[in-house]
Amino acid sequence: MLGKLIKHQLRDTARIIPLSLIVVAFFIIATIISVQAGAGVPVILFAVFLLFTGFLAMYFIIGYCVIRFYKNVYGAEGYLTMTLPVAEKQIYASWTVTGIIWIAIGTVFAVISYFVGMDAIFMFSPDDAGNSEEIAMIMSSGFYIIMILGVFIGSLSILIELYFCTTIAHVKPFRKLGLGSAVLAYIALYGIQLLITMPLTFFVPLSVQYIPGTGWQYANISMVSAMTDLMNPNSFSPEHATIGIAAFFWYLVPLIVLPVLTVRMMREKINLK
Amino acid sequence: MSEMVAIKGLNQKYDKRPVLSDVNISVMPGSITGLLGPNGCGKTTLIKIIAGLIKDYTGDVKIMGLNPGVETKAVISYLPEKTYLKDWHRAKDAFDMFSDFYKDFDKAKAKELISRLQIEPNARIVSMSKGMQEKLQLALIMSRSAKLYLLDEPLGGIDPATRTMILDMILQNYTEDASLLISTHLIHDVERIFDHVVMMGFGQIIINEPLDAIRVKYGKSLEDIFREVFKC
Amino acid sequence: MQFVSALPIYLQIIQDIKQRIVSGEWQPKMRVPPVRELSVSLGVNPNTAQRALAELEREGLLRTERTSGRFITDDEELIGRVRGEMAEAYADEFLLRMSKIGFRQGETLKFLKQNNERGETK
Repeated sequence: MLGKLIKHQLRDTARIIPLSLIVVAFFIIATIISVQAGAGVPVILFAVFLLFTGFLAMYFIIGYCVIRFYKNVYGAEGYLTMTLPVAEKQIYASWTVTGIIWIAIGTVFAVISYFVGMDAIFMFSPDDAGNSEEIAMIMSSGFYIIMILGVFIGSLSILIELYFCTTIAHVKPFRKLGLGSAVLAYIALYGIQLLITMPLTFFVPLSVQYIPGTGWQYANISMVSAMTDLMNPNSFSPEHATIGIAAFFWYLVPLIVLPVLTVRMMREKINLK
Repeated sequence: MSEMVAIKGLNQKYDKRPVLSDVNISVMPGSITGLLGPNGCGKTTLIKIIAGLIKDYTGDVKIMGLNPGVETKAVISYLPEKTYLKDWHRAKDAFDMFSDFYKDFDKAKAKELISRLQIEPNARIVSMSKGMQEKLQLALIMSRSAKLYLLDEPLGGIDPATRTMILDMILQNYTEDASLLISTHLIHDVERIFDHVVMMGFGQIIINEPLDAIRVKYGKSLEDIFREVFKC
Repeated sequence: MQFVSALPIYLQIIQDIKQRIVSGEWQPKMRVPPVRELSVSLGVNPNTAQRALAELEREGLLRTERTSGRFITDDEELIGRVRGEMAEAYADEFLLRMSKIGFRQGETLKFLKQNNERGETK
């Protein structure tokens, strides 16, 4: 049943989502062609549009999946979806898989857009030689893997959060506020996340450091101590940029907790009126 | 024979206001039961509870001895008042959907029904009139061999000639091991296909008897009884 | 078939079928349509149709042959009796109505004779 649900949802979402990807593809090709042609202004133009659409397409994909999810489960279509002989957790799982598939494709497009776009822009900056080295170093050190993971997991988190928010908006006490409760729930979630991730990022002694000349490395110091250290004129540490990564581990928590809560609400608290 | 649907002591509230009060009903296999009552009397809520769409009730609701869930949904064919198909679906897409999820769906029968009901096979739902949408959904529901058919106001937007055709279709579809529960306010046309009638008002059961027994007891048609009971 | 609201449907079906049998429209030994078919053609619930047929069987007008279905009886005497019963009921009703519009018994008879003659000359 899960496969069938996914099949139908993909068929449903495939009517619109690819359009956004076609737009991004267009700008990728346009940027590459204008870079090859050595053109001036068009390169910058296309590159900017490319960067813009690259990340907008991702938001569009997430948003469209969420809208289709809530229309399919809580709208008029819900009268069919919720009377099919499938468990609520399968309905949720299938919409999540559908989201994952599109987000994965969107991530590929977003990352390609980023590198093609940035590359095109840097071609025309004064220290272009230095920056190309930067980029080459970044790519060779595997940073792009972290970037892909970051975009993918970040987008997936937003999707899961939005599925949660639209579900909670349909639960009895919040139904009255309608769309407003979904927005409030999202803001609340975002606020809670911030309250948790900020201290984790700044104070937990788990970071990555970039030292010019050496590259990236792990460091067991916190961002705050690294920054205080830098500001101390007596320290012996080399120039570095430190980014706390403890928060990344926290991101896994909502990815597990929110689906569980969402499915439970779907099973017990959703009444289609 | 054991009951198809057994409901005891069902209560349901919406915002503290009672929607169903102490409802007790049995539906036997092979029965065509009419569920009558004015708007807002709780008929639709009752049907939705049996279909598994509304879960915040107290009391006992059993379909073939089971609580509403995945197994009961597999044997219930539910027709709501709303259109629940996707805007862009054509009849063919709806058939695909139903055959994927319901083992008892008969695609050939569905095709035959939509041609009898004069439904455009290639039109998209969004471009169909409300009446045609209703007919398509009805055709889908009737093409299943379910154990319990729940029809919520199935004849609302349909013209009298088609209504007769649909009532005939319902009778032709009849089997002794399945039950139908049909809610309607078009009592006059539909009365004679029922063998049992449940009349509701203000969330409570007012009459719950075989149709012929009602006629003997009250000496009038259901429509007249209805008018009397619910006169303003 | 048009149904009247106040009488149970199964009784109305019984009346209808009796009429067809006594009038000869449905011949003795003729096969009666199965319940499902009958219910569709009358537009009534199959259980109601079944009840009517069961009652007619109880009265002897219909017979079930286990494998071949239901048949009209070939008991001409029974049919004749039922016809007589129906005629009596109609007559009683007719006389009652006539008396309500002021006809006394002798008058009713005379009226019928005149009516009959008029009918024959038409």
